Amino acid sequence: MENQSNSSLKKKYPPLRIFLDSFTCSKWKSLFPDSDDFLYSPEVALSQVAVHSDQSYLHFCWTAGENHNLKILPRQSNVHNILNLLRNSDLHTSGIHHLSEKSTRQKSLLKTVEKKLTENNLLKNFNKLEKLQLQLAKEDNISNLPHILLQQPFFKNYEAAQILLHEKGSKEAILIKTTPSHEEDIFITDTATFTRIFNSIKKSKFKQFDSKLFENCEKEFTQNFLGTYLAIDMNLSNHNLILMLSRNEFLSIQEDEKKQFISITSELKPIIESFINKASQKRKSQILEAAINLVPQGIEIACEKDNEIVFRNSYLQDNINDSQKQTINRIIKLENAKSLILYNKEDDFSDNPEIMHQQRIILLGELFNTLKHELSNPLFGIQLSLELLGEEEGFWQQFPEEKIMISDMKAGVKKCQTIIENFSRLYTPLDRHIEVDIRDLINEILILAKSEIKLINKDLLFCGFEHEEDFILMSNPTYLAQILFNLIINSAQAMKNKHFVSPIRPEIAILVTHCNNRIEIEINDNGPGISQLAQDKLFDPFFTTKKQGTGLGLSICKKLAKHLKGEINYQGVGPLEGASFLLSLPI
Amino acid sequence: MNILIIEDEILIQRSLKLLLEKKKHFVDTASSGREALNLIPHKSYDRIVCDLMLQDITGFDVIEGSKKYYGPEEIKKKFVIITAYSSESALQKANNYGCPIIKKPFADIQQALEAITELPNE
Repeated sequence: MENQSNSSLKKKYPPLRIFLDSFTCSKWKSLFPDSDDFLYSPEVALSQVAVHSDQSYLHFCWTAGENHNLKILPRQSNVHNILNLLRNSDLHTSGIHHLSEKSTRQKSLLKTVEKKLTENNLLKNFNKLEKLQLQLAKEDNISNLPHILLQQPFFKNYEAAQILLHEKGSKEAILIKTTPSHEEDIFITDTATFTRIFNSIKKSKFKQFDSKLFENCEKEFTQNFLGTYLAIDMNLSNHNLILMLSRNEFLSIQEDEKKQFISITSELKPIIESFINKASQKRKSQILEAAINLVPQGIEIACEKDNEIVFRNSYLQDNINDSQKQTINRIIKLENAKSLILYNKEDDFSDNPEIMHQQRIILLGELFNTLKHELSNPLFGIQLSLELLGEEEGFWQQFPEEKIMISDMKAGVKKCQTIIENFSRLYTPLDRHIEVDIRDLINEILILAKSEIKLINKDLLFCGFEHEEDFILMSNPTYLAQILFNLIINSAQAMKNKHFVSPIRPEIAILVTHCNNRIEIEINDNGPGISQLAQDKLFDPFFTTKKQGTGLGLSICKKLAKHLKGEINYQGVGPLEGASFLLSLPI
Repeated sequence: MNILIIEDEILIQRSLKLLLEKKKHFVDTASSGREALNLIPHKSYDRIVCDLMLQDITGFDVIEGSKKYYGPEEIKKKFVIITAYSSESALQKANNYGCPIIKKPFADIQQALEAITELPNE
């Protein structure tokens, strides 16, 4: 019988469709780049083998037909174990429909894995790479990279390492060195120099260089980096990188050593890439912080959101004297987290959010008064005319429908007048306290907020109010309205970000309690709530979790509450398991 | 009675005039303060209904202007101020003249009309 294994027709194994979860993906994918042998499936259902990892184990499953666990391995397993597993797998017969098919697939998987691993010495290096990856995960300082690489077992013959790094699109490149005496420093050079060196290395077949490569470069390149060295170019996603390793000797480097260098560096590429991305960001932040510390102003970071950092000038505090007020305020703009631009603004103190807000309220109040006046007169005219028209009893008897229309028109005008009246009660001069009926106030605010809270269930409960006079308190309706309006709008907007499954609907419950000479207004919602992180910064100015938020709302509310001799606090998730705020006022 | 209405909003002016004429009063109208000051010396008005916010001058200016023709007691009896403007200072000032003030819009139209046409006590 012919020996089938010697057949000239080599059996072609179909590509294996593998699904990797995200952790496994980061480890395995670098070992098995997309090729004829491996196809990565975006979904478990489309794959033949699925690899999942949890805290401590790697799970291998055949996915065709029943989901069957091949075996569960400790996460830090090396490829040896995995290969063994594949060789010696016990297949449970129950639930497996096509046993023979499984065996064929198993063999196929095995063969491809073995082939891949032996091809590139990957098996040998897998453990070492893993260790390096773990080490780099804990490191975020870019200047330590050459040193760390030098310490790796596969580079134990080398004495010095240099890395030239250029962020794509940037105008400069950096040179990171490490010397035998472990002195590290970062030197900045220009893109032209970098590109020249990069291209030379790329073109070269043997990757061996000497000082000639640094002709026309600054002496920093050759300082403490002597002799012949190997250099490899790497095209990373956001950077171009050159890694140079030297023994500080002048002897030529052996062939197989060169080969090894090229092969190991290609394996290192993804590991280096993820580290560079991380460390590069860190470096930018460090530069930024240093820049901020050098600015001769009382500038501090107020908060960070998305890609912005907001600064606050600490000179804008409550107890500053007049001469300090003359200090020039600066507006700081961030550009790509790399450069800071300071604008001088002449003594424009109105950047203070609280003052801006006060001015806005005053302006709004004036505008409103004018509007009210302009609207009232024509409306009144219509009202009087309707009154007149309605008086012609004899005339309207012939037109009963039209008579009703006149009544309706009268009602419409009355409604307009009521709205104007209600709103005008919300704007009183800022420092005045007048009698406020808390029921009317809350109802007016609910009307004001109507468009935002249309689809939300509203509950209003009064508790502990025994007499009519209990509902009256001496306060400033403008401030009070502002605070409550703000809280309600916050709830409404937060609930837009939560998906409510019917029959559950977004809900706001307002509980007003009268006790101990205080009126307490609690605003509860069943929204997404407030994260632990945000809770501490809730009332800080400029803190916001909204994309378009100014972050001023709650901080202003806190100030207003203080003006009212009351206080506002976050109460936790509250009875509706969302967010709960309490405004407490003296009567 | 002879009534003068000083109001720049035409609809209000005309409606009030018609309403009062239905009650058998004689009503003249003026759309501006100056117009009013031209009318006042030529006719003896029993009541002058005056809006505060006029196009040219304020209702108070009209009162000051009519001091030429009326003494303070008469001012108190004749003028009725109507206004949508409810500021403290305005109300205070009106009080100084001793005139009644009716807020626009009238909360109760009939009641307001009665107040306007109330015969002064001797």
